[in-house]
Amino acid sequence: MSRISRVWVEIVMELKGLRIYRLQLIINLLILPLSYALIALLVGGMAQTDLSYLLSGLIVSSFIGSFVGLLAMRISNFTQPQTMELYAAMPVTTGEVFSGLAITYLLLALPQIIVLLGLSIWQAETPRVGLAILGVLISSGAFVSLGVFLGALVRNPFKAQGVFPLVSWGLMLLSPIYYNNQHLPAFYSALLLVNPATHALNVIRPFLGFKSVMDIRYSFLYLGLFILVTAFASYYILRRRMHLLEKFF
Amino acid sequence: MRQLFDLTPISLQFSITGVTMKPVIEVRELTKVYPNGFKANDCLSLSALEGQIVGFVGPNGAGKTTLIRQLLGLLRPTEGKVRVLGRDPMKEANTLRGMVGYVPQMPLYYPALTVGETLGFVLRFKGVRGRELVRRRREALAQVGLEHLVNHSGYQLSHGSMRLLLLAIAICQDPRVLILDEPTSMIDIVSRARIHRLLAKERSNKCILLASHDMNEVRTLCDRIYVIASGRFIAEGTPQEISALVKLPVEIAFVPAVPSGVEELLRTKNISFEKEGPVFHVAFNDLPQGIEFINDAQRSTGLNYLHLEAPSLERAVLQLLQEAKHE
Repeated sequence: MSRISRVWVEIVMELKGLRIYRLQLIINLLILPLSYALIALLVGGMAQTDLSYLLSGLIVSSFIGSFVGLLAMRISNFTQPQTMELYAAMPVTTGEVFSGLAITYLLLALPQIIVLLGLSIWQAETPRVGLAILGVLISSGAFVSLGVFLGALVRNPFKAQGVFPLVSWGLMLLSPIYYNNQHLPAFYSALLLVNPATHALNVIRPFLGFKSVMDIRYSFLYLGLFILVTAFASYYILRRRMHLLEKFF
Repeated sequence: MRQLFDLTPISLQFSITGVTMKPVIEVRELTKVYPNGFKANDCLSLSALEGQIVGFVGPNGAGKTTLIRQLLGLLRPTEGKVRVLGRDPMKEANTLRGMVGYVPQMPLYYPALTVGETLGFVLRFKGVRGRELVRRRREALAQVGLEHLVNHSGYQLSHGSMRLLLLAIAICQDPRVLILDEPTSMIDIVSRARIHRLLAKERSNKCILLASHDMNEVRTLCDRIYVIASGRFIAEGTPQEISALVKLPVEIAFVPAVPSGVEELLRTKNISFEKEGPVFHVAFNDLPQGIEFINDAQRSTGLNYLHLEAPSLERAVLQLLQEAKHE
């Protein structure tokens, strides 16, 4: 059986396994993010461009919530001894499970991202739809890769519950998701450029008519390299360090 | 290590009745030290052939599960060599996944998947589809006796049923190697007997490793037993050989049909005894003496009840472990 087929079976299995968390997922991945968007749309007196700015920020914020929050936690859960032992009883490899989980959570986040991107484009003055979609795709890839890396790295579930919200908070705070960086001090503006969320915004917002924080090509390059580095680091952890009970706590 | 026969160097191939067989599982001088300095396995060597059931017995924390996890590539050995089907589990764990069936010690399960779905996914991972999938799933469920729970979700299962499901997961893959870590703990006696029959049947074309605390299970199923304590093998052999390693008294408890003449008989033969109500307890140095006494007692007074504790595997293993502890 091919690797792709096994990844597909893993996706189906994960989705079926998530049945018992259905309500939690609908609320966290659909109702809550879209309710923020609805509030932004209902608030009167806001310029259309401001709305588009906020909604595009909400897309990146959704990436962070879905992938650095949920996906990273699921991957971390997979690295627990009990889960690894359970999967050791199955004819599927760890790499296939990781790939399946990443795609599953991407699929779960897709509806809210499509809706938010649609609203952003609707509210934007001069949208370039194709490039905006490309920006969303590469950004989602970067955060999926980051989620997998963090999940593989933080194998202590108790630490993970503290580390992942902290990383999410850092990514949100140090990026112009909900504020404009044009009037920030130079040092702070430079600091934002370390953050993948800033580059994710920089490959989406300019195509919705906003001024870019730096050359868009560099942001695409940054995100491409970020995906490669985090994917390689995850692969390294998977190959070299993914062993049970080795310095677990 | 105490043993009754010479160990064939594991690097060599085995020759049984003229047919040369390569070990399916080969472990040489395997040592595992955890990062905190705890040595869980200390220079272990073993080999297992196709058609064999090899048992590990030892107290909790002796190193059985650590050894098994290294065979599966879930733990990295500190020193030594491990080969399963000629492959290094650390380098080729993915290749071995489909060839090695594993029943973990802990009762693990997928909470939201039903028993039928879980087995269905296992088979789909193997590329089995359609009618073949349905047939193999039904067969595996019947083999472990879980047909009636096919639509139950993982979280609804008892610990015993979870273990049966794990066994079904392993069996339905038809692997060449089965590694079972206490597969019958928490399982009722009917299911246990069914599993014993199943393993006896499966052994013909498989190599089975069985870690167990159930001496009866090990005695009836295993061709060879390794007794492990503090990470080391302290004895190895067939169940009979292990039993014979330690000299233990033969204990007999009996209730005579005619109680009046028994004490007379025992005193005449100068046999010391204890009496608890109608039950007499006597002990002999070896089995022939015990059998001779039983024959005498049957002839002279008749017997209403008899319990003979010959040197048992359980007592022998216990004795070996106690000796190892004192050393």
